[in-house]
Formats: sequence, C-alpha cells, structure tokens
Amino acid sequence: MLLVCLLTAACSAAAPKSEGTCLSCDDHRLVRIIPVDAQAASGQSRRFDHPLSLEKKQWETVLRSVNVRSIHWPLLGPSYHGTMEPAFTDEEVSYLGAALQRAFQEATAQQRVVFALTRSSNAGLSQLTSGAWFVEQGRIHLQFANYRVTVTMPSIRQQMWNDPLFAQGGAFYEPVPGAHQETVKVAQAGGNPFRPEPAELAIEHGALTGHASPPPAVPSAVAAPATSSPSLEDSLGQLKRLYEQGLITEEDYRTKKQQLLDRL
Amino acid sequence: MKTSRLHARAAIAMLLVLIALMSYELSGLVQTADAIPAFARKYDFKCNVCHVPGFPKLNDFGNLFRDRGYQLGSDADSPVYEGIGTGYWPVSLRTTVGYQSANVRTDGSGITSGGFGFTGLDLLSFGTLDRNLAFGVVFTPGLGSAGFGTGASDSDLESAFVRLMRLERFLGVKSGSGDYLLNLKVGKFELDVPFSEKRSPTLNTTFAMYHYMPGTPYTATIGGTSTSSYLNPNTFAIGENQPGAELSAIKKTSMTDGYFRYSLSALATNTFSGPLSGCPSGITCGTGGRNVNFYGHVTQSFGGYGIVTGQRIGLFGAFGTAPTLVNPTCPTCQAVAGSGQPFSRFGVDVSLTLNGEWNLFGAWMWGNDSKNLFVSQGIADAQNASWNGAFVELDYAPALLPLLDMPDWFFSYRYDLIRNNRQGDPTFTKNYNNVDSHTFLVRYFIHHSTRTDLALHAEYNTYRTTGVGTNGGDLMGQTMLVGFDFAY
Repeated sequence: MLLVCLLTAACSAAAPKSEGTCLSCDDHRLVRIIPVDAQAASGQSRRFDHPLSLEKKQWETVLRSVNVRSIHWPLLGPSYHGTMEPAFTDEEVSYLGAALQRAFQEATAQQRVVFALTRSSNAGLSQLTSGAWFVEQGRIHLQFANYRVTVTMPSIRQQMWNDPLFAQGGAFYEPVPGAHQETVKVAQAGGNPFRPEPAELAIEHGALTGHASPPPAVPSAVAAPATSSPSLEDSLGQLKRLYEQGLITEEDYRTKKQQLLDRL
Repeated sequence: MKTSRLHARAAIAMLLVLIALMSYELSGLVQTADAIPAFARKYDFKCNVCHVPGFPKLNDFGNLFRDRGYQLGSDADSPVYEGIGTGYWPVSLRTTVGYQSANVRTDGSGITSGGFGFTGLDLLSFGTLDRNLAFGVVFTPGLGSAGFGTGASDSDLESAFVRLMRLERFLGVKSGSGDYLLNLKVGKFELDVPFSEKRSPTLNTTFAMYHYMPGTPYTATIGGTSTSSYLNPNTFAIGENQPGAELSAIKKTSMTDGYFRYSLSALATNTFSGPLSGCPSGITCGTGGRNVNFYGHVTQSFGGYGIVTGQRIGLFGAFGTAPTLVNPTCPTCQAVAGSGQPFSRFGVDVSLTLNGEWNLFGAWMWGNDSKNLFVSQGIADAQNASWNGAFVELDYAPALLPLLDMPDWFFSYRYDLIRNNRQGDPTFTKNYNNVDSHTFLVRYFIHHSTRTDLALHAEYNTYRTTGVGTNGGDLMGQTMLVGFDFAY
C-alpha cells in the first residue's frame, strides 16, 4: 500500500510546473509575474494596485532601503537577533530595479511579481533569496519567503525556482523595518500550518522616492468591485493619450499636466 | 501562527504515536547512526545542506563533503577560521527517544515486549584539525537501560581515526579542484560499504547482508527464543566498524559528469592472536591465527554523485583469514584446522535516482567461509559455507509532499534477503537461516536549524528466518519503533 502511495505521489510530483510570465529569468535569478490564484500555498486572495510606474532609480531607492538581520527561532523560548545589514547587494539592486520597473508596468490587479536570486556564500555554495512584490493600499509590499538559504538538493532548489514563495523551514533572517516601513502580519486562514509564512514588509514608497502613492484600496475581503480614483500615473497616461490623439491642444496638455504634478 | 504550526505538528506526532501503540507489541535492537550538527554550527548551514531531509542519510553534497575530508575547499574549513559560526564546538550528540515494541516467535512460542525508552547515545566529533587533516571520534557510553530497556550498551569508541588528505601531492601528482586522489585513514572506522549503515534512516533494522554469519541465526529483535545453530569462529562483518588503515580517493570524471571513488582497507586486530587458552595440558592446540582482512570498494557515477542526482555502479569485496577460536570441547580440532582460515565476500551495488526525490539502490553479495573454520569447531564432514545476500531500498524525499503540500517528509522501504547455498555443517538444510526482511519507514523533520535537528520517526520491520527453531520452525519477528530522533 505504501508503494502505491509512493508511486502515486511520484506521478503527481514528477514535473512541478511553474506559472506566470517570466520577465528576466536565467539560472541564477528571475523576476516573474504570476496570478494571485497560483499562490495556493499562501492561501490569500488579495487585489493589488497594479500596474505601477516607478523609474528604475526609484525602485533602486526602495531596494536599498530594505534591511535584514539574522534571527534564530528556537522551538521554544525567545528568539535571537543579529546585526542589521542591507538586504540586497549593489548588483542585485541594479538587476531588480530594472526588472521590477518593467514587471510592475505589466502587472494587473490580480497579479503579483515574484523573484529569486542566487548569491555565493563565503563557503562557495549557492544561497537563494526569493519572495514576492506587490502594491496594496498605496504601499509596496515585499514578502521574503527565503533569504540567503543554502540549498544543495536540486529538487528543493527546483521547487523554490518554480514557486519562489515556497519557504524553507527555519528562517534565518527577517526584514528590519526602517523609515516609512513596517512589518505586516499575514492572515493565514486556511493556510498550511506546515509551511512557514513569508516575512512581509510594507514600504511607503512615495515618501521614500518622492513618487505619489496610489490611493489606498479597500481590502478585498470586504471590497465591492467599485472603481477607485485613477492614480497619478493613470491620469498622466490618459492625458498623454488625449494629446497624441489630437483631442486636446498642446497648451491644454501642458496646463493639465502641471496641475496633476502640483498634486504631489 | 507559530503556535498553530506547533499544535499541528504535535497532532501529527501524537497520531503516529497512537498508531504505533495500537500496533503489535514489538521491540528491537537499535543501531547507531550519525548526524553531525556540529558542521551545521560551523558553517551556519541547515541540516538539509548535507542531508536528505530528515537526516541522517547524506545527500550528494554531504557525501562529497565527507569524501573530501569534511572540507568545502574554502577558508571556512579551518578550525581557526575567524569567521567560523558562533556556537561552534566540534561535538554533537544524538539519540532517539520514544516507544519500541517487539514480537519474536519460534516453533509456536516467543516473546512480546514493549516500552518507552531510548536507543543509546552517540557522542560524535568529526572535523578538521587543519587543512587536509581530518579526524573522527564516536563514543558510545555504556548505558544500562539502552535499547529501550532490552539491553545495556557497551562503552566503546565506535570510531576513532585520523585522515590525511591529498597525499598525492607528496608524489608530485597535482590533483584538480575538488579531487582528492590519495587519502589515508588510520584508526577504527566504518568500512566504505555500498551504502552506509551509520547514515541509514533505519534505526532498528540492520542491513542483513552486512552482518550475516553462516551458522548464527539472523535475528533483528530481542533474544530469548529457542534456536539451533552451529559454530563459526569467523566474526568479520563488513557492517561492523573495523580497526585498520584505508586508502581512498574521490575524483570528478568529466566524461561521465560523475565521480570515481575507490577505497582499499587493510584491517587487522590482535584479538585472537597468540597461544590459545583453555587448552588441556599435554595437548598442542595450535596458535589460533591472526585476523588479517582486506576490503575494497570502487564506484563510478554518471550525471551526479548517484544518491540524489545521477546513477552509480560499484564493486566491492573482502578477503581475509579468520582466527580459529579454541573450542574447549574439541582441542585437537584446532590443530587440524590450523591458524587463520580464509573467507571472502564479493558483490556489486547500484544506485538509481529520479527527479532528485527518488533513490532506488541495492547491492548483492556472495559470501564464502572455509570449511576449516567449521572443522576447528569439531563439525564432522564440514564443508565450505556459501551464501548470497542482497537488499534493495526505495527512498522518497519529496521537496513538497503532493496533495498535502508539506515539505520535510521522508519515506523508505527496504527488502533484505539471505539465501544459503551450502551450510558449513552438512546436517543443516540448505535453506537453514535464509532471511526475508521488510522494513517500512516514515520520517518527518519537525524542526531543523543551523544548530539542531529533531525528526519524528516511525519504523516497522517484519522478517522471517527459515528453519532456525530447535524443532525446525521458522523464526518470525516484528519490530516497531516510534520516537523522536534528535541531534545537537
């Protein structure tokens, strides 16, 4: 009977599938847009403020503002914390800045952006960092499923590559909220108690980058499908389209554009 | 949320314990196995960097780390490396606590037992003294209530060795990165058996062929049942740690995208050398002989190391002379047999992997013991004893358990068999002491960090040893172990 169970499991597990659109993927790093429903493991149903237009430089500012510290969670008793350090290297900031800029221009309200990075440890082994980004209620959220986890088992690495929100047990790092940041407790109703929840950090990117935050959205659990006020990006985009279509004059375009920018 | 996880894990644990308690009243002897959290502390690794989830089985990386003398090839290998993980101390301990029960029957009668307790205790220390200078020590203290109360454990150094790595450099041979072409290990250690028993996830079931001895009824459980046997002075078993010296190598083979390994051990003890005692006055009893043995194993893998990725094939063998113990009931037999008499073991092993989660492996071995070993014990018309031993094991270590969406599970099934071709004592039937053993195992990694391991372990074994009852009946045994296996 055990053999039947094992063979059944083999059939279902033989080919783990990845979902979503890969924007920048190779053997060492990836940024991918995935539908929220694909994240069955997180058990969440959330609606996001996507798309979002941020410049690469602004994304880099956000990325550089993220810090982590080592942590040890014992089975029982208090946890232990290490010293704070930047979450991303300069090379990772540059890569993610460009990839996230593009990804968030394409992502919809039912999608989020997942990522995975590989870094070499002092011992010469690969360390994986993975998680997700999304914008909700006017703030950029970063979920760290794994941070600098050394992985040597190819099946586990493949699982993390296919599902960057697949968290290896025993987180060794946690995000440290800085200015305009706070950690978010993720409701885990219906989630798998055997899977660690990703650590989540909410970032007031408008305050960090000087970019206007989109208006807060009502949490999806109670929200009706009502329309919300257009974001600054949307307004500017609409204004530009009207001008390009010849529906408004250049003077109208400049005036209205300045009025929108003055709202910042 | 952490609390809810703990509750769920505790519920799973309790469920498995209840299943165990509702099963047969079973018990068994417990073997030792190694997991070394000291390395996790040293390098700040989680345990599954070196182990298949649920330890102690080594994954490909862990096997390479061991073959390379517990070295990654970086500065972090040095015991004086300034960036070494805090809390590092090269000593680990491991034991399993829980409930074990056993049922063993022969000729219609038997013994049933069961109880809570612990297996035994391993105090392990492995590491590097300096670059290319490795060591290992395993101390098992004598504990009166070890084996879940079924028997005291002996206090002994199970392993104690020093390993000199990359000696080829003194012969002018330059080895490639990651290659260690000539390594010398001296001391007492586990032989390079096809698949390490010390790192097997099975805790109360040995690999039958590693320990099988013609004439001695195979049993995996508590003693006390009535069995028949004939004397065999050969005590050499490839599954027992042996004192000696071992040459070995590990080399990456680009043509196969795998690894070539060899090991050659020269083993000798003075346990039985010198004049025999117990010899009646006026009779020359001989000198008993020396225990000098050789063991070798060579493997070639393809597309990986062959345990988690790729495939592996291997050949192994042992040849030696076993001392002929004095038999006080027949002192002249000793002189007839002379000193150390030969025995041999030869076999092949194969390991196949699939998807990085499945590992099907096994080995076959042929064994032969000289008839003079049995002559020395006064067995009339003694003949060479020959037998075949084999096992096949299927391990499943999913990254994520299908349907339940859970990581850190490990499942295993193993079939051990022994088939005798000829008995040393011709009065015993050919199938006397044949063995069929089935072992089922589930482990769940409850907790693992860069400091510690804790796994829930459930193991069930059922076996039959043919015709060893005093009335010619079969010995039927079952063992069950459910417990927490932890290492620090």
